[in-house]
Amino acid sequence: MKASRLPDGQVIRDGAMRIRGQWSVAWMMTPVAIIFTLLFILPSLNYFVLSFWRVAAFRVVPDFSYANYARALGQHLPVLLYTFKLALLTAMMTTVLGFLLAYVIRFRAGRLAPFLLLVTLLTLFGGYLMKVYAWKTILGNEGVINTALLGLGLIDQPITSLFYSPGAVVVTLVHFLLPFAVLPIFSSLRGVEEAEIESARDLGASGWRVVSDILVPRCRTGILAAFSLCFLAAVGDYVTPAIVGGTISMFGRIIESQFGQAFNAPLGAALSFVMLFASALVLLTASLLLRLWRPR
Amino acid sequence: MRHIAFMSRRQMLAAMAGGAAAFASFGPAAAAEKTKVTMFGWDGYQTGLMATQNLAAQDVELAFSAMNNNDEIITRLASGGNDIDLITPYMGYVPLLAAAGLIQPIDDALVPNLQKVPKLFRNDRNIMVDGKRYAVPFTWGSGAMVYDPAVIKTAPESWFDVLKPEYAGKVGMSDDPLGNLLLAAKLVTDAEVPTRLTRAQLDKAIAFLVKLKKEHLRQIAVSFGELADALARNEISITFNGGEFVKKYAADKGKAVEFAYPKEGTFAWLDVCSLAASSKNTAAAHKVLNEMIETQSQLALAKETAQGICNVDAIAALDPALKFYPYDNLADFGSKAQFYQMPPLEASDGIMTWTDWQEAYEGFKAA
Repeated sequence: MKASRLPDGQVIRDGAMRIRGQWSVAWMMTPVAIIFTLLFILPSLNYFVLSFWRVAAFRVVPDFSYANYARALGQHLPVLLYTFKLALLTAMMTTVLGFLLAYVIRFRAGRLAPFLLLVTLLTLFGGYLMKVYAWKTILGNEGVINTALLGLGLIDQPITSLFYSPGAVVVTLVHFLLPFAVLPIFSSLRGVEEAEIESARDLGASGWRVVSDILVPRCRTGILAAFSLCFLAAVGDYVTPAIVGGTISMFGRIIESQFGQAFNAPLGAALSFVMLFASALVLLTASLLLRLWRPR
Repeated sequence: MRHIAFMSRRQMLAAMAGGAAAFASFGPAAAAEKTKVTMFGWDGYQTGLMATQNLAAQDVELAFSAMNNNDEIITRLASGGNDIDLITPYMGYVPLLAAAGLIQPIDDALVPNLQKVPKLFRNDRNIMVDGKRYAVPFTWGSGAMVYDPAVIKTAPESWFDVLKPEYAGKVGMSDDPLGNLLLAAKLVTDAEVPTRLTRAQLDKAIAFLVKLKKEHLRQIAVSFGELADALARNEISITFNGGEFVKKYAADKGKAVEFAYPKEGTFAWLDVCSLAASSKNTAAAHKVLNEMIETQSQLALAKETAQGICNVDAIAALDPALKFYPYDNLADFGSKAQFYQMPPLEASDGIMTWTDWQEAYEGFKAA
């Protein structure tokens, strides 16, 4: 068996060190594991069981029926697909914009980089609802954009499609989620040296080639983290569509109403699990696509 | 200090024990003086009760927690909400809550202010179940149409006006499954009671709402506050389903809007206060019920919520600016807006249940 010598001269066998290290990691992970189990695993199991139950006369009745899942994948499937379409669009736009901003901060901003990073972080403190309501004053009939266009004589009537529309939902979510995309990508970009990019440039690589062959492969984890955060936040959001979406319906709103207005927690639980598994499928696909991304 | 210094240790201990006993006896007596009553209702409904010292004078302490929707009441009570004494549901829920054993009868003799409430509200059939009172009505209104007089010069006469081409993209509605479906059923079906619908009638009502949504609707507002906000920002000019109080909400945002009762009529609503079946403080809870419809309490409620009030003395003393409900002719109001029962919980004779309504409404939202 191999042995190692510690700085103080003590000799310890590698096996013993490994076991001690494993115990140390296990010990450090215990609080997180307990919290995760208590606040996520157990409630999730509870709701999974509940998703097979039913409601009768305002009371939840134990049962074992797939009826809630059948409804989720039948009546509510079009809304689920629509929600995923908007969430994918939001996540992709946010990730691309986040990548560009992170790139500028990392490689182009020079002395302004810490300031830009601080500004990005500061927007996180603005408050979610404040941002949603801010877009009302920007996109509405009497908002900044319409007022400016009317003032410039470019339009005769306000452009009503700017607000109470799917576009308004996407724009609002992109604005809110941008810092969540910038931070993990910036973190990944810090591992890329400027010299690597300069070398590629010196060898004649185009801007796109640098991005596709150096930056994307080196930032896979950051990009995936950014995309995942943005997608999951967008797909489950129900406040933004309710305030700026006008008449559109998103899946999160249906789930929310089952736990309130409709008093059907079993159906709400089934809808939640359908969304959870569908979201996991999207993220696995995104992860696979990024793994398959190979420099030319 | 000197006196204490000259006391013996035994005297000192006796004095301390006596003091402690006196303090201890005072504590529980003081705590026992007030009975805590917990109310679970719409935010603002506690305002009237807080406006006077009447409850304190009757040794009652009110604890209020706000709800987000009517079904939350059921959720809390059905899941064993033993901490709740009083709830403030929409009157349509009262028979359902009584049938589910979640509320208990109220003793009229302990609520003398009921005599100041007009019969239209006091004896509404929803709140009298099997001859017993299950709720005290305290505020009311209707699903009146709201419109922007700057855009629509004369008051619309029909709900079908929302389908006029000039209002395409200018119609708003609140996300109110019961109100929207009930109103649609009233307009496009031959149902005698618009909450007793067959499958065909329910489908017809949904088809009307879908047409309205696809061709004319700009907003399904998450709340009446959002609906008023859309009117104030000129995003919409007319509403399908609304409420008199929207006029006040919009005025607070600097926008003058009006309301109308279209010729087809609409639904009326009555918010009531009921006694939870699990309440242990029924005597004190009855005092709160009585105070809900006390004159000063009602005046404060009207000022806070801009909703209709039920006490005739309070109505007589009401600020004219808040007197925009048809208080002078309640009988006429009753002909324009009716109080309907909720759809049934259990299926019978081919009549759609409340669950069927909710499923259908989700279909409309997804369309």
